[in-house]
Amino acid sequence: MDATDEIQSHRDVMKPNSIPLPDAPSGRSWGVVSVLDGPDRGRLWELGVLPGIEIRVVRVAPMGCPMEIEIDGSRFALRRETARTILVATAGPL
Amino acid sequence: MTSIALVGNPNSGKSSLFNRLTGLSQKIANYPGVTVEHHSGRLRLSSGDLEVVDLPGTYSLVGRSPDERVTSDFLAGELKGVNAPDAVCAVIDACQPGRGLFLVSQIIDMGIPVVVALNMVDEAREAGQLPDASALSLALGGIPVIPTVAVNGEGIPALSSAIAEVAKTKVSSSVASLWRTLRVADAFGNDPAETARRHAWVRSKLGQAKWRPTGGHRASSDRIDKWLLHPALGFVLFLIIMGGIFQAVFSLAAPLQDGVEMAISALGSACGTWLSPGLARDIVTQAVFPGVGAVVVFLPQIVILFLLLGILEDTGYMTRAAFIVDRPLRMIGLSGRAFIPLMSSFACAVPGIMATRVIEDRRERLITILIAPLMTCSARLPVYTVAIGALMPESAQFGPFGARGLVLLALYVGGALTGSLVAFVLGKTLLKGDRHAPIIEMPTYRWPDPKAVLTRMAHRAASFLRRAGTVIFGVSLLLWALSAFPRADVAPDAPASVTAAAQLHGSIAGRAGRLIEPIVAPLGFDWRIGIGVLASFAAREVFVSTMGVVYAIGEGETEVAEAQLQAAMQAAVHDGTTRPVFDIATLVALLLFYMIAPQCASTLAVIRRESGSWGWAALAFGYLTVLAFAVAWAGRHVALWFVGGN
Repeated sequence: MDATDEIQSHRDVMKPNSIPLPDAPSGRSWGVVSVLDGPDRGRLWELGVLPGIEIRVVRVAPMGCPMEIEIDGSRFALRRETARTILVATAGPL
Repeated sequence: MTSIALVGNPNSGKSSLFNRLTGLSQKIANYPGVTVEHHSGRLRLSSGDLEVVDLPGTYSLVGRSPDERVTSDFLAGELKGVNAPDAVCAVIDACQPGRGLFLVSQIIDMGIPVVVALNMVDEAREAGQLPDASALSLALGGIPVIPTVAVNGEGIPALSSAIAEVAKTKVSSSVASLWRTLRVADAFGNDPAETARRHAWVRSKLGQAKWRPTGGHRASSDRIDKWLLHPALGFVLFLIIMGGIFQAVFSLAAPLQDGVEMAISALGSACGTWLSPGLARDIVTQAVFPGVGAVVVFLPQIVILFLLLGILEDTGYMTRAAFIVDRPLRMIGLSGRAFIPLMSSFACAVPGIMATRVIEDRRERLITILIAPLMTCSARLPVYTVAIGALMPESAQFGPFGARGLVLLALYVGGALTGSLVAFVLGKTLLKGDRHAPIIEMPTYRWPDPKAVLTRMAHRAASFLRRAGTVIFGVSLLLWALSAFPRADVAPDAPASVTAAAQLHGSIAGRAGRLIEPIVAPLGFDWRIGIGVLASFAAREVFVSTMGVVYAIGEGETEVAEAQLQAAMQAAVHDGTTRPVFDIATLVALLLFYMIAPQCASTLAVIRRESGSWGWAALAFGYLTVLAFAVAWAGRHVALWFVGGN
């Protein structure tokens, strides 16, 4: 597999310009791109974590986990690995 | 009777609303086969009474956790032996109408008649919103929407009459089948498009009602969280708050406990003077009253603990506490949710184990249940006090600290460390597997509703009396019978304490104590301690009063009796020798034994009940007993090596 292929397959999973929420610089809101499969995907959808919704990391507990996030005026605590399933857009409109 | 189900998101003020609607006519029950409790009560109306059922808070009817499944199964009439409700009152937090309406959309799809209580409208107003209930009602196609403030009773009469009105409409008989069809549909809760459609529906309804929610009033909560969830200071404040609760529980409860004990023993001797000497009097004064006393003596601590924890829960701090301790607890395979159960277990493992119901993950819940008895409960304190008192004089110092206090602290820490170690090992072996930590809402801080806090405290205390009280009382009676028969022949003019000692020696309990002596001998225990160990199955503190009887001092926890008991224990020798029973090594073994041993029948009964099988109770009993023996034996030998001797 050459380098172009590898980048291509990576993009298929990640979607262009999307990164997991914990990797996104904090201090501002991000747009949700998608929620990866995981035990909490259905719950996240119910709480409104759907593509296009704004999401923000409010704070991180001592030792890096769990994280407090804000969506639609509500705050939730979730573990870092759950937050990793939330992909957010890093730049510009999709 | 027509029944109404209260359904709503967690933190929507549902329980306060329930209290307002039903007053004091509440009862708590478990549905067959589920450990999730439900509260039901009566709503009194001029047109007749309605039954109101308060269901566990939920975000959707998909049923993602055991609690949530009870709610959706109840609504669908799928709980065994329970009829589906005739109507639903959906409680919506006026600051978070979107999430509430998401749930309402699913209830509408079920086809059950529904009334919406738009709760906490006062907070929405404070946050600068004026939700228009009639516009929302219109947008929802005529479903009644009543603005309420459960905490002060605003809107409750209007809500009651709306409920009465909607309860008259007939439920379509196809609710359950419609629901089953919906549920087996792959899309329900499994498809982002389906969920997105519901969210879009909610947005359009809010749009039609010209309502643009801005969320709750976060500013003041954020100011508080800046301190309480501060990366470094937050943990310190957490320790101070929890330490404060401990201090309050013990210092406020102590005088109350003394009062309760005095009152019970005064009542007992008063009854004793009315009855003529004989078996009946013995049963009343030696079995019934001490049995009742053994139960109610725990009440002050438990009530105070429930009160303080209830206040903290309702302010919203306990969610923050779980947030702070999640990572540390994760190192031993638990999560922030295990914190309240383990904390409560320092007062008594029974309410602690009952509190594990908030833990959604079954494996994590079982681990928490299995280690809860290792947290030092208050019933161990009298045992520790007597044994530490015999071990060292009050003046003993270790550096600048009193040595007695340090030993006590070491026992608390030792229990907690043993529990952590056991949790870690269980999580890697018997109960290994992926553990799922739920997403927890962080509500805004609120002033607790005193009525809601007090009602919950009363329910929890009643629940403790039912679960633990009956077992403690029953075992107390049984142990009295075992120590009272067969009747001993003693000279009628012998002092009462000598008679009692002779009676115990010859009784079934005394024989059982001598029978197990070879088993406990490696720990340095003689048959008398053996009886004490067996007797403490009623409650650990019974060990002390049993020692009082064994050494013919008579019962009582007055300072004189305690000093006499200590003197008697220090003078005690193994039968037929001059070797003291309570040498340093034996006392060390006794303390370590009580730090771990599951000497508490009510804890074992509650473990069976909450885990749903005797197997887990047997496992708890087995591992704790073996561990207690091993640690006590090792402690004895380390002590022997230090002080010399055999």
